[in-house]
Amino acid sequence: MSKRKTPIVLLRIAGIAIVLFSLLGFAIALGPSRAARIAGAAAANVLIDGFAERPVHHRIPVLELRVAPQDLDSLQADLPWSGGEAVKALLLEHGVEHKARFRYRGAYTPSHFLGGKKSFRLSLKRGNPWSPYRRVNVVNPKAHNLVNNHMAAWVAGSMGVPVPMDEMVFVRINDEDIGVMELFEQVDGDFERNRHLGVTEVPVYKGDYPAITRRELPKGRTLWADAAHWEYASDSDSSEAHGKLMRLVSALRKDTASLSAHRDSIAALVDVDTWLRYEAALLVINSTHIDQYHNQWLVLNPRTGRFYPVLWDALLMFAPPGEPLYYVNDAMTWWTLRIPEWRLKRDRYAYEAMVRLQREGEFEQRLDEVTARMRPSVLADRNKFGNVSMEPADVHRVSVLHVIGSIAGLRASCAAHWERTLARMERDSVSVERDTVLRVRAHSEAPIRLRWQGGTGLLRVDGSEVRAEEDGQGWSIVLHHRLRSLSGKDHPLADKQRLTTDPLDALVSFGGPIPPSLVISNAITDDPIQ
Amino acid sequence: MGLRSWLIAATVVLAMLLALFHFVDPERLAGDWPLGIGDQEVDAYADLLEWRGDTSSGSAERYLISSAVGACIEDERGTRWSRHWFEAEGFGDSVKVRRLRTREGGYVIRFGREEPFRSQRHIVLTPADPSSLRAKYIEILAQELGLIVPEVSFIRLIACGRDLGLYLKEERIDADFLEKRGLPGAALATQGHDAGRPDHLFPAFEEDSLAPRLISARLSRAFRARGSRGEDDEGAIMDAEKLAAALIMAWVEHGDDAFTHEHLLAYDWSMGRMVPLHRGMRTDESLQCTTRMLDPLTAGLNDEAVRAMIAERWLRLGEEAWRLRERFSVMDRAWLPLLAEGRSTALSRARAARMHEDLIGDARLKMDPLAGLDVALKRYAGAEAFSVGIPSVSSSSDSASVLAGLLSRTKAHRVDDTIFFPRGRYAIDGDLVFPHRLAVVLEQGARIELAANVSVVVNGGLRVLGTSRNPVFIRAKDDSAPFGSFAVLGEGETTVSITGLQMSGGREARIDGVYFSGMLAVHGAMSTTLSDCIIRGSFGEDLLNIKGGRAELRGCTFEDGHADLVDLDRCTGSVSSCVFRNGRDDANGDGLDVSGSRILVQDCAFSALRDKGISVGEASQLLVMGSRFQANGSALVAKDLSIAYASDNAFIGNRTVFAAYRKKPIYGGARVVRYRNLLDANAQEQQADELSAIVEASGLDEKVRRMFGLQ
Repeated sequence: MSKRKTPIVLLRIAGIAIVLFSLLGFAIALGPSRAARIAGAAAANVLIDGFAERPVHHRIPVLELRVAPQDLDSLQADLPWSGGEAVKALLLEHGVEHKARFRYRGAYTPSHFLGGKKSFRLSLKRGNPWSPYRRVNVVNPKAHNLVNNHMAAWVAGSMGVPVPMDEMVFVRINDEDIGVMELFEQVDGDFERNRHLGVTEVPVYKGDYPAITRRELPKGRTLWADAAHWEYASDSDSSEAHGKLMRLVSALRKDTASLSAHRDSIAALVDVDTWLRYEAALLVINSTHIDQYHNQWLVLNPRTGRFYPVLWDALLMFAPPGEPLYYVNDAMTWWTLRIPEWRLKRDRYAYEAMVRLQREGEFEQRLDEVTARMRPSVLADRNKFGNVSMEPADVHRVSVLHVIGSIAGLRASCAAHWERTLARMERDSVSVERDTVLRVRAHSEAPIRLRWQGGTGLLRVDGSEVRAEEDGQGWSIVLHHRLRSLSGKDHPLADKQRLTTDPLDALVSFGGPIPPSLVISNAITDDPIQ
Repeated sequence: MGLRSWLIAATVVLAMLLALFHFVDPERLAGDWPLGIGDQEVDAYADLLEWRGDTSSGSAERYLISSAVGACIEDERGTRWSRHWFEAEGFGDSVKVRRLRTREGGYVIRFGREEPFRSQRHIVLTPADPSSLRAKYIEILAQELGLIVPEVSFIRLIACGRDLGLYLKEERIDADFLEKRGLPGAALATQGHDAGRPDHLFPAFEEDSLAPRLISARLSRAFRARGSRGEDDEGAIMDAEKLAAALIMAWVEHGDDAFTHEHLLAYDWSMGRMVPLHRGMRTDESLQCTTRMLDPLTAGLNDEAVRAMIAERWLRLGEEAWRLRERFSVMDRAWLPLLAEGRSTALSRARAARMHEDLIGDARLKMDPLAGLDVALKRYAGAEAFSVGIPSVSSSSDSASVLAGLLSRTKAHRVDDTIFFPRGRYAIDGDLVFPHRLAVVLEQGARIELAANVSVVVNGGLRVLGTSRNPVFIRAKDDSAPFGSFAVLGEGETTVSITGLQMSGGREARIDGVYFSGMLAVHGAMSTTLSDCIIRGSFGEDLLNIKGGRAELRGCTFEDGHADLVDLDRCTGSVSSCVFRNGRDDANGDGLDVSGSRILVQDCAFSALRDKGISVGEASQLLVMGSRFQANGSALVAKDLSIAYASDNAFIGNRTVFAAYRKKPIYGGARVVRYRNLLDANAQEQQADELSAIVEASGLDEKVRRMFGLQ
């Protein structure tokens, strides 16, 4: 028995047909995969995020702003080109209005200016709620997990690398929820003052894409090719700093000078220990987002007169899985890896950090704390926007499911990268033959340390005379691998180079019998090799 | 369901609520409620249903803020100061007011420098309710533990033409506040404890430009060289006793969240130490994370001495808890009727009792504060990078080579923890800072010659064993090139005994973050004795400066200083048979300058002092007897809440004999009590401002005698 179709049923059918036709249209215009991702994300946002309870008690700071609506409209109408234009704003905290300047930012990355959660920068006066910081960026996190960059900064900071202050916040503008965003310090001449190390500005250079002066995106420049490619970002006197930067650029140039000459020149101009920690952090974070063209900062340390880097926009696990131990981010990395003792120190810093973060569970614990604090705010955030496909312009609504899935993905990819890298560092595929001379062959990537007591410390390695280092425990030398380029490119200024180690095969002559006290160990982990 | 069912249901619920609020013990009502029911809901029902009729009210002091038309303080939302008229009992003045940045609804009031309000330059007002009484208990506890803490009280604020209600009033901690509490010139800093925050790596100093670099270097060195203890080669960076007290307070006040809030510290330039202060909590926000910054405050948890102090103080607090509870109860009686504002006093009292229990109840006292305080401590946020370039030892470590040279080249020698300087000449060409807890003995005939600007700091006991016939000399190597300071930096039990010292040719010095204003300076010793010494000819602020402890000066001559001769800060003790005189044309100082002290002066002579013979300031008490004051600018001057008693003295040829006035507005007037004295040929007998008084009395009464230890 068939029932007659009522008008409501007909309307429903028509509605479904419209949705299906529009989906079909999008599928034809965008391709089925993109269309499905956009539609799925939007549907999940509406269907799932709408269940969140209100009002919410935020456990992360709430950034409450007032900006004249007409000012916001006019800035939004000309994005991304309005990014250089700031308007007046008020930051509200405990019922007090703090004067601020507000501008949108991020012309190079569509997720900053497309969608409903736009990244911006605030310039504040002294005594503001985020004091001592006076210039902060508030950005739509690039990853769906929201905490990617926040955690990268925390990881690097825990390794002794200078990082900007970075906090997750819940933003409200003109009494409207904007949602969870990432607030971080803008690096400038106040970098040391913000850490209460001094009271004056210090020289700071920014290594990034050129400033936008016209309605087009300028091309990137190879930063280490010319000191002029670095933008001065401080109000302090730059004359001494500029001279040092020019000398550093020159020291990184590949020429006929010896490796040790380059090493000494670089060491006179950068805080080597800090730089090696920074390079180690790049390996631990597994990021290629810091490169020859952008995301670099140099601060002139007033205590040493040498530059140190600041980790910036690193993005945790922003690299294809399985990168080699020796990925070359930029010219500084190229030289760091070429200088064996620096490479070893970098690897040791990275190893220590990964043991602490992965094996001792410190990263998981911190991520749990961060996500627990963010949870009420993330649930209350109905305004989640992110890239839903590989197309940069596909910035659309996403849901809490994206956040959950992405956090799980972050946990898994960190664990996988760190376990894989630890395993490579710990591997000891080494064979040792003891005769009148010692022959050490290694297929694993870690350098080999020989340590012994007694004797003069003079020995020959592959026929060349070497003087061992003396420390409290006797003499020691490290047998390093040679590095080889995987991609054929082998130049400090070349892009995306990957280096690998050649197998080690060394003949060590002690000028007599092999010392009975000789201990052979993995130079990264210090584990003895049996 | 009909209307009847609804009526029955409503009546049953109402009856149950009535029974609950009528018969149930208020202590139970004040307890924790399930289902998210808060105090406000309970209060609302109690207002509606409670029949006990025990409501009461009290009257608080009223602060009236009047504003120009359209300039009401409630309408001000920005961070800037605005000018208003302020009135309280006995006070009225134009003041500046701004919103409190760290707490909703609060205000900061700034009074004129010349007209502070009851000695306070700034006060902070925050909205109060019965739970605000906790702040008063916290103040009592902090005081009990020996912390510097501003006084808390409650007032009614009338502004914008209406009653804004009750407010908690607290003096803001600023330079004036610190000066009143014996930390003049101290630099204020805040210290956050989030291991991931770069701005929590080092203390944030507010106005001092020297302290940040000094302290960040010391802390970097301390954490690098000594692991996780806040101590570098110059010794502990924090005042250990106050640190232990501050840690206990953090735990009592915040429990597991002891380090979620910033702490306030003051850097004491006279001791080279940071002193934790206590102030009321400003914000409710707390960051939930288990990793805390290893900083000067939290590092106390890694110091066995501080841990022992925490355990001991906690035990003592347990023994004294009954007395504290009584003090809490007194506060309840004084303030609860006022704070309850016509609501149920029983309920408020029950809540107050719960607060007592929470702070110092039996359950709390059985807990171990150390177990509650111990958390993972790290220095993240790039800490290692910022210690690059900081020398691994302080500038004073050069002293090691200076000392080694002295020990090898001269007769100076070390026996156990004492260095002896026998008779002989000792030329010292570089700053010499003796290692901590090492005593120094200068024997008869020892002659110390210090090169230009060179200073000596003894970080332990000092004994100078000269005699009038066989003195010990400390002099400049070159008479035209003054040395810095010969100083002792003491710790608690340190004693300094100096006899037969003849010293000249120095000035003042700043060594490793400690400012020594005296050519001969003793800071922080338990007792200092000088006898038969001649200290003369300095080029700095003071000839002799003693800060803290008991000071006894006997038979000494102090003469020809560039500014003051002897400066006693926060001391008790006596000065007897000493001579103070100044023949220099370029000098303009006092003979004896006493601040925050109680001193007996007997049988001394003060002559040719261009400024004051004796200056008594900053709430000091001084009795001068049997002394002679001749040809001074002013003979005896009392200032700033001080009181000076003068009996049986001779005042001859002075410009002014007695003066009393308020010099620093944060203090009040002063008082001089004149007994029988001889006055002759003085230009002016006495001079006092309207806040001060100079009174005559017939004879030294027993009470005054006892105050100064006279039989």
